[in-house]
Amino acid sequence: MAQAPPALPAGQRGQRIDLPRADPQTQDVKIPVGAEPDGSAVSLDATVIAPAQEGRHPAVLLAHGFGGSKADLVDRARELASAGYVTLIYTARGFGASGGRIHLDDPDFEVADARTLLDHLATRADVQLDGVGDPRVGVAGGSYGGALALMLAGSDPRVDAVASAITWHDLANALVPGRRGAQDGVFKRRWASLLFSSAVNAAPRTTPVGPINVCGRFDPTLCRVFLDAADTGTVSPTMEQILRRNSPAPLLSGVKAPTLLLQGMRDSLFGLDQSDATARALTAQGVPVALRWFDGGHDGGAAPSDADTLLPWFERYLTDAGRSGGGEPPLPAFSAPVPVTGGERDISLSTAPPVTLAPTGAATGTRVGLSRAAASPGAPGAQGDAAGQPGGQTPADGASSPPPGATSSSTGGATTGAPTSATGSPADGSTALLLSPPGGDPSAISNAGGFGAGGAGAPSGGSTGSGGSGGGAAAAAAYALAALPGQHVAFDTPALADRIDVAGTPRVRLRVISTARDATLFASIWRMTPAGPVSPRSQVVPIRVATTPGTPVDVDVALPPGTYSMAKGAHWRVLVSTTDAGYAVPQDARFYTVGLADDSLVLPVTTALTDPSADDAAASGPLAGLERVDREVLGAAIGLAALLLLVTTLALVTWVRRRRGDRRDTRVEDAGVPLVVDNLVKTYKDGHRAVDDVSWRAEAGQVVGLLGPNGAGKTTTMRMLVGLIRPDAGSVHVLGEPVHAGSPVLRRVGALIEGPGFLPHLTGRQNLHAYWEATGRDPADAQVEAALEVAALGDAVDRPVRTYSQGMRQRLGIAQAMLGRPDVLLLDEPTNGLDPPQIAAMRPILRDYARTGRTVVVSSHLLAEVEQTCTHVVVMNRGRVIVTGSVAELVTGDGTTVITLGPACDPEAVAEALRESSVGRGLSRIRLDPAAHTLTLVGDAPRGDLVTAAVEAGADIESVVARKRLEEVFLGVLDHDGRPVGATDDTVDTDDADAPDAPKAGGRSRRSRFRRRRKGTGAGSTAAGADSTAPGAGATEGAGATTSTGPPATAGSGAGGPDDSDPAQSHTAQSDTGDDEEGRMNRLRQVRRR
Amino acid sequence: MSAATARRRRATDPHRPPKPPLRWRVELGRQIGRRRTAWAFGLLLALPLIFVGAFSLGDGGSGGGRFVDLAQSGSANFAVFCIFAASDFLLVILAALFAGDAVPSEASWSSLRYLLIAPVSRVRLLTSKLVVALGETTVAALLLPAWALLVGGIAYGWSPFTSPTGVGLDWGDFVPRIALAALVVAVTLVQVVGIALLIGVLSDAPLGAVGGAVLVTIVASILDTIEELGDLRHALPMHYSRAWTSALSPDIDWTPIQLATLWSLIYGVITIAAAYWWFRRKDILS
Repeated sequence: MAQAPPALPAGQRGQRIDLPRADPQTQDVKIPVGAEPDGSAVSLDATVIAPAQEGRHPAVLLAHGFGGSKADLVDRARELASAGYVTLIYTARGFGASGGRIHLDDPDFEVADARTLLDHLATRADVQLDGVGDPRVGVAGGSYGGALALMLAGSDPRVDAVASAITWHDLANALVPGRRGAQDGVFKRRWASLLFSSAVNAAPRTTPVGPINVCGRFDPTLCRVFLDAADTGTVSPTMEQILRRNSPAPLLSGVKAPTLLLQGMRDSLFGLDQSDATARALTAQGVPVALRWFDGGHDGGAAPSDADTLLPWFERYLTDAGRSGGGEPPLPAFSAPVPVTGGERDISLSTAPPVTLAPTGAATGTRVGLSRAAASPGAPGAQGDAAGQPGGQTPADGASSPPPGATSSSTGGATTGAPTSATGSPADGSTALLLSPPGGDPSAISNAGGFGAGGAGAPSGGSTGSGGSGGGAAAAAAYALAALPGQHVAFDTPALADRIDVAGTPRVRLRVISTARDATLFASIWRMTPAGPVSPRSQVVPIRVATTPGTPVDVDVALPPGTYSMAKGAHWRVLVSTTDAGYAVPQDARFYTVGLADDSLVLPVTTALTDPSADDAAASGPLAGLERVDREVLGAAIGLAALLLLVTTLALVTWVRRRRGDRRDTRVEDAGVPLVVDNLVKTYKDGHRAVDDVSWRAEAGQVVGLLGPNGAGKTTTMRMLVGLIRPDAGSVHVLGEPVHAGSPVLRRVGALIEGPGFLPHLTGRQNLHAYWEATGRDPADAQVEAALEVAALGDAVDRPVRTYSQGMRQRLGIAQAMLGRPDVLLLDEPTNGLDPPQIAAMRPILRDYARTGRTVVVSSHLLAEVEQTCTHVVVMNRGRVIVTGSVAELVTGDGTTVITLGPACDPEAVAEALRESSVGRGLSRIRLDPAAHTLTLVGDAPRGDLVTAAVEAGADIESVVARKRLEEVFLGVLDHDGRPVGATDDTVDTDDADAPDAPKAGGRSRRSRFRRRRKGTGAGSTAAGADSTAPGAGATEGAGATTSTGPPATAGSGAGGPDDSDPAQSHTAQSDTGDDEEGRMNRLRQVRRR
Repeated sequence: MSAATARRRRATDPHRPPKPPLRWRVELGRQIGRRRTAWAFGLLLALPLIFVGAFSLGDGGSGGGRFVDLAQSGSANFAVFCIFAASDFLLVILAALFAGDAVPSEASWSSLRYLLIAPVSRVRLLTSKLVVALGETTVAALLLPAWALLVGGIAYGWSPFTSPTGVGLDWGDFVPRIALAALVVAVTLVQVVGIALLIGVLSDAPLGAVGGAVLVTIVASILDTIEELGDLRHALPMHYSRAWTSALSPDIDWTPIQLATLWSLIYGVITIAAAYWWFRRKDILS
C-alpha cells in the first residue's frame, strides 16, 4: 500500500477522518449499490460534508485514487463544503470499508455506483436540483477517480461539470504504449504490478491464504488477466478488451459537461498523451475543455491547488451566479508552466500543442541539429565510460589536458558536431550498435517515480520544475543508471543559438536495423550540464517497431512531451536505450543499429513566453508561479519608496527647523561679542549634572580663564561651546550666531579640547593640512607655517604623529586650533603635557593673540596658570559659576592673610584676642581652623599691623601667607570640596632660572630649542607679563613664608622656602607634572606631608 | 557669467566657504593612507592567488556541478568562483570594515571632535564617510572579479564561461554579465554597510561595528536555514546574497536581482537613516 500510486497529490493521502465538530456538517452514510456478479450485496462507505448555510447547494462528487479511500478526500471535501458545495466523498467498490470487488472502473460497476450516488444526492434536502432526480452536481477525481469522473459524465447526463486529474483516456494505450500500426506496444510491467500490488495489499489478509486469495479484492476475472499480462509481458486480447472498455474513451461521446483536465508532466503512468486524447475528443464535440499541464503527476511533484483550478471551474459551471454570468471558461483551453530561472511561468494557448506524432508525420517546429555524442560508448566494448558523458566528466580532466585552450567544457565534443569516436561503430560513426540483453537484464532505470519519492532517480528538477536544476552528483548518477554501457546511443545538439521555449513533444527520426523481427527502444531527452546530463522530468517513451532483420527502418519518435525551457548556449541530448526497467522488454538477445534518419531534433516552440503581449496574459493568469515573486518585488519597491519618502520628509523638516531656529536664535545685538554663554545646563545620562546654569561672556581682546578643580564642568562647558554636546538648556552664541553641531560660525572658532586628536599615520604637517582640507576653506588662509611656529616641533613635523610625545601632540593641537587665526580660540587645559618652559612660552603667545582683538578662552584647574595668562576669569565648581570678573579686579581689593600658628599657643585664644584688638575690628572676617592651626584674616588692614596684632594676642607665628581674593575664592572652593589645594606662590620666572639645572634626559634638545625661540622673540612680553602679574605674586609678598600648601605643579621653587632647599629636586618634581594627573596628586601629598 | 568667474567669486567671497567641508576626495585621502585599507585590499588581491595555490595542492577534484568544481576550467569560471567564495563572507567583512570603522576610528584618534568643530556638520561628516565606504566596497566588489579574471587567465587559460547548468557564455556576453554580478554583489553589501555604519555610530568601537555587522549577517543566515519561517525569510538581511548568480544565467532572471537590490536598499535606508538621526543628536564624548 505504501507504494500505491498517489492518486492525488501526496499530502492529501493518509488523512484520518477527523470529523469536524462545527460546520461544515458531516454525515456518514452507507449507500447500497448494485450487487457483485456473484450476487453479493454491496454498499459504499460514503460521507457527505455539507455547507453550514441553510438552503440548497450545488453538489460535488469526489472520487479517490486507486488503492485509496474516502479518507484521502476529507480535506478537499471540507474545502469544497466551505466554498458552498454539498460534497459527497466515498470509498469505491473493492476498497476500504466499502463492499464488493475491484472492477477497475467498469462501466457496469464503479461507474454505475457513481450514478447511484447521484441518485442519493438528488434525495438530499440541501442539494440544488436542476430537475426531478437531477442534482446540480460536479464530479472530480484524480487517477482512478479521474477516469471515473469522465466515465460518469459520459454515461450520466446529470453531471454538470467535470474536473479530472492525471488519468487515462484509454487504459490499453496507457499501459501498453508505443504501439505502431499492427505492432503491439510495450507493456508497462512495473506500473501494472504496482497497481495490482497496491490493491491487493490494501485488502485485509485472511488466513489461511487460499490460491484464489492472491487476487485480494480484485474481481477474479480481472485478476487473472492482469496476472497473465504481468507474467508474459504481453497483453492478451481479452485484457486489451477489458482495458479499452474500462476507459473514458468509449464514453466520451456522451460527455456534455464542461471538463477540466489536469495532467502531470512527471507521470510515467498516464502521460500527457492521455489527457490530450480526451481533450481533443471533447473539444471536437463542442464541450468546453480546459487542459492544464503541471509539473507533477504519478511520479511526484506538487499538484496545482484546487483554488486555482477546480474551484473556479465549479464556480463557473455549478453555481447559479457562474452559470448565469456565462462567458469564457475560467481557465484557458490550454495552460502549462514553463520553467524559467528561479521559478516557472505560465503559458496559455487556445489549443493544446500536439503531444503525439501527427498522422502525416510532417514535423513542424524549430529544427536543431543532432549528431552522435562524441565520446558516447556506441560500441558494446566501450564500457569504460559508464556514464557515457562526452567531453570528459569533470573539469579536472580538462585542467590536466595539456593545451590550455582545449580545456574541456563538458560540451566541447558536441559543439564540433563531428563524430570523433568511431571505434566499434558499424558504419560511419554516426550510428551505434546496441545490445538488447537476454532476459532484458540489466535494464536501464530512467525513472523511479513509481517507487515514490526519494528514489535515486527522483525528479531532478526539484519542485521548481526548472527543467533539472538538481544536484550534480545525483544527476550524474541518474544518467549512469539510464545509459547502460553498450545499450544506448546518445545524440547531442550543438549549443543552442537562441533560447527556445518548448511546449509539446520534441521529435526525432531514427533509423533502426534490428537483428530480430522488431525493435524495442526507449528514448528520453536530457539537458547537458558540466556535472552530467540531467533528465528534466525523468520521462522515457517506448518505441516498438516491426522490422525485417537487417533492413533499416525509419521511425519517428515522439520524445517525452511537456514544456522545456532550452537556454541559449545549452546542449541537449537525445538518449536511445534498449532497455528500461519500467517496461517489459524482449527476452531474447538482439542487436540494434541505431542512427539518425534525419539529423535534427524538431522542437515545438511556443512563443507565449517571448511574446510581450503574452506576458500580461501570463501575469494575470490564476496560476502564475511568478506572481508571488512579483508581489514581493512590488511590495519591497513600495516599502522602499515609502521609506525614502519618510526619510526625505524627516530630513527636510529637520533642515527647515534648523534653519528657522538659526534665524530665530541669531542675536544681532551680540554680533560683536565673540562668546556669550547663557544658562547652560547639561545633565548626563547617568544623572550627573555636569553643568548647571552657567552664564558668562567673553569680549574681544580678552583672555578668559575658565578655572575650576577637576570635575567642575569646564570641559563639558567647552564641548558645549563648540556644539559637540547638546545642552539640555541654555545657549551659546559666537558673534551673535547660535552654536550647535555644525554651526557655520564655528569656522571662526579654533579649539583644543581634552587633548589633541590626529590621524596617527600622517605627519604633523600632513595632519594640519588634512585638518584644514577638511574644513573646506582656502588653503591660503590656513597659515600653517605660523601655526607650526607655535608648535615648535622642529624636524619632527615630518614624522608620523604616532611617534610624537604627549607634549608634542599638545603643541601640535594648539597649533591646529590656531590654524586660520580664528576669532575665538578655545584651549582646554593647554598646558597638559608641557614642561614649564613651554608653558611659559605659551603665555605670551596667547596674550599676543588676544591683543589682536581676538578672544582666547583657556580652561585650567591651576590658579597660577589662569592668573598669569588671563585677563578675565570664570571660576566654576560643581557645574556652577562661582565668580566671574577680571583678574585685575579679583587680585586687588580685600586681602587675605593666613597665619599658621605654632604649637606654643592656643589658637582660639589668639583668635579671640585678635577679634578684640583694634586691628581685628577692622577685619571683615576672621576664620579659625583649629585642626590646621591657621587663622585666616580677611580685610584691608596692612599685613604688618595684622602680624603685630597677632603677636600681641600671644600668637606663636610659624608662617604668614598672603592671599588675594581670587585665591581665596578658589581655595574656598577647593577646601569646601576637601580637595588638595592649589595655590600659587611662584612665578614661572623662577622656573626659567631653574630649567638649565635640571634638564630631563631626552628632553634637552627640544626644550632648549623651545626656550631659545622663546627668549629670542618673547622675552619682552615675558617681562611685561611678569610685571602685570606682579601684584598677584604672592611669593614675593609673603617672602619666606611658603607653606605646605604650595602646589608643586607651579611652585617648584619657593624661594627660600624651608622645604625647598634643593632646587634640582624640586624641578624634577615639576618636570613630571602635567604629564600625569595622578603623579601630580602624589607629589602634592608628599609636599603637604613635608 | 562663466563658471570660472563664478568659481573665482566664490573663492574670494570671505563669508562663504569655497568648498564644502570634508569633501569626498578629502575623506578618501584620510582613509586611503590607512593600513587598514591597505590590508583589506591586500587580502582581497591575495584571495585568488591563495585559491590557485590551494587548487594546485589538490588532486584535481572529483567533478561535479558546483562553481568550485568548475573553477579551474578557465579564467571566467575562476572569477565567478572567486565571487562565489568571497561574496558571503570576505566581502561582507570588508564592507563592514570600511563602513563600521569610519566613524569609530576618528573617535578613537580623538580627531572626530576636531572635524566636527572645523566645522564639518554631522550630516556632512557621515555622508562623506558613507560615500567613501560605499565607494571602497564597490571597488572591492569590482576589483575581485577583475583581478580574478587576470589571475585565472594566467593560471588556467582563457576559456569562456560554462555554468554549472551547462550553459556557456562567450566572452562578449560574459564580461558585462560578470560586471553586473559584481554590481549586484556591491548593492547587496549596501545593507552591510548600513548596519556597520549604524553600529559604529552607536558604539564608537571599531571592532564592535565590524563584528556587529558580521554578526547580524551570520545570525540572519542561521535564521535563513529554519524552514519553518517560510517566506518570512525573504526579509532577512542578505537573504538574496546569491542573487548575483542569476546575472550569469543565459536569460538574466531579474526578479532575484530586483529583490536583492530592493531588500538591500531597504535595510540600507533604514540603518543609514537611523545612523544619521542618532549621529545628529549624539553627544560627542570621545
